[in-house]
Amino acid sequence: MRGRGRWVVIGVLLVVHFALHPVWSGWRAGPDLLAGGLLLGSLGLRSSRAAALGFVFGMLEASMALGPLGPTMLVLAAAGWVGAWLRDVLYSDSARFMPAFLVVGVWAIEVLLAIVSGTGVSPGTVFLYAPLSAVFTAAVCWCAERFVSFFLG
Amino acid sequence: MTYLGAPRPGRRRGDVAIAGILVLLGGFVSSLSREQQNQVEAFVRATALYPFLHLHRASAERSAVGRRLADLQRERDSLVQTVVRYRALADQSADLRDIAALASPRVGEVRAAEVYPGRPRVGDPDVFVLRGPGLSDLVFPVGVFTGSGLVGVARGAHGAGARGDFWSHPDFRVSVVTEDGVVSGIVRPLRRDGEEPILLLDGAPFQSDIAPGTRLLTTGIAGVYPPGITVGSVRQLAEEEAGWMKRYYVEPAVRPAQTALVLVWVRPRLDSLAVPDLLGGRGLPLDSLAAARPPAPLPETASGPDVPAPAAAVADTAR
Repeated sequence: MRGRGRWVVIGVLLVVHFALHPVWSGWRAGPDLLAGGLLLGSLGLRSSRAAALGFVFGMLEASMALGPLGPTMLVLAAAGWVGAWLRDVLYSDSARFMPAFLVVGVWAIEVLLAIVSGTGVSPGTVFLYAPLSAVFTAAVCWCAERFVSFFLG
Repeated sequence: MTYLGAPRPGRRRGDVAIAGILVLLGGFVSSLSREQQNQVEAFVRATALYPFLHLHRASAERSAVGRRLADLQRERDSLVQTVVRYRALADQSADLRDIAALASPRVGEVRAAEVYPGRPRVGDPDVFVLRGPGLSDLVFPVGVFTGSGLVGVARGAHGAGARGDFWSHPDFRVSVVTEDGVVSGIVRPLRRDGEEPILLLDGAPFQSDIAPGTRLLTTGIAGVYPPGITVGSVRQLAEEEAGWMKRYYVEPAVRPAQTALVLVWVRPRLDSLAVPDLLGGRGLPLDSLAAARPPAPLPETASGPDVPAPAAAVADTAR
């Protein structure tokens, strides 16, 4: 997908994430479309801009959820940076790379956010809910990208 | 060369430094005070997130409108009954106060506000943000309640609104007294694994027995919560501690998830005390009393004569 289409996908994910926030946040394994959008964005940005994107996303998410502001911004800024850096390390043109990248990335972000938000990290969170959430997020992101690709090419 | 169909982004010197600075800035924001973080949050909520918050509010109101109408009618009927029952009593009380030259009781006033709860996962479901007129100039902390009972405590300003904790927050404490005024103690939240949070009455005297279903009311001591607000009703005895204290499980009067509109207490100004004035006036300035008494370390209690203060009642602890 070309740059314009990718940013449309990220915009749609962001709007859907915040519009349905009360619904997602009630599910223990709900999709984290903000993290998905951040990781998608980091694939097409330089590390500094990816970190800035994560910084802004962190501020929005913490303000919406009334969570810890600084730690959320720190985690998402670091996630954007690491995502952009990993893109160079794991350079791949395979179509399967993006879903795998999203699953691992969202899982890591979910676990880190659970740690910094102070809600307690249980084995269930790390090995059940976070992986389910990551798979769910990757599936939604992939569908959104296919959908937008169909119209924008 | 393309990367997943898109051109591979270039790299510049300084990218790593900028990214590192942004990450460190996130760490710096963590070190800001709660008040400063509240201002940032309030700004973001009032600008970028405003359409989404408006959408959430509209959606919640639309889905709950039928239930709320029935609730409102029930509350109105109950209020009419209460007013009719106590009107004569209030008139008698006013007459007696006139005879005794007592000033009228100061009960404060309330301001209506909308509740926006925190979200689980990233956020904290035990905190809330209030929006409504005239909230930012309150003196915090101050009690938040509905017609059904106590909701929590507003801790500080949050933009033009306020930010606070539901009763389910681990820091929440309130001093309570039974309806008959006999037993008092401190109520705190109790969260057992996998269960909804409830309340626990701590510090009830060992010789006291509280029947299940007994309502617990705020004492109003310390001036954080207005007196007489229902906190919950006793469910059952939890444990007896070494023969000197009992604990009771308490069913909360209000569940945080069910609150949409609340009342925020504006405590009355205590610039003069409503005590009988033998010198002919209607009250004594606080300054004159302070000057007349030697300074002594006082607990954090601020109860006027309008506040029913049982002998054994304990002050609210509100951080």
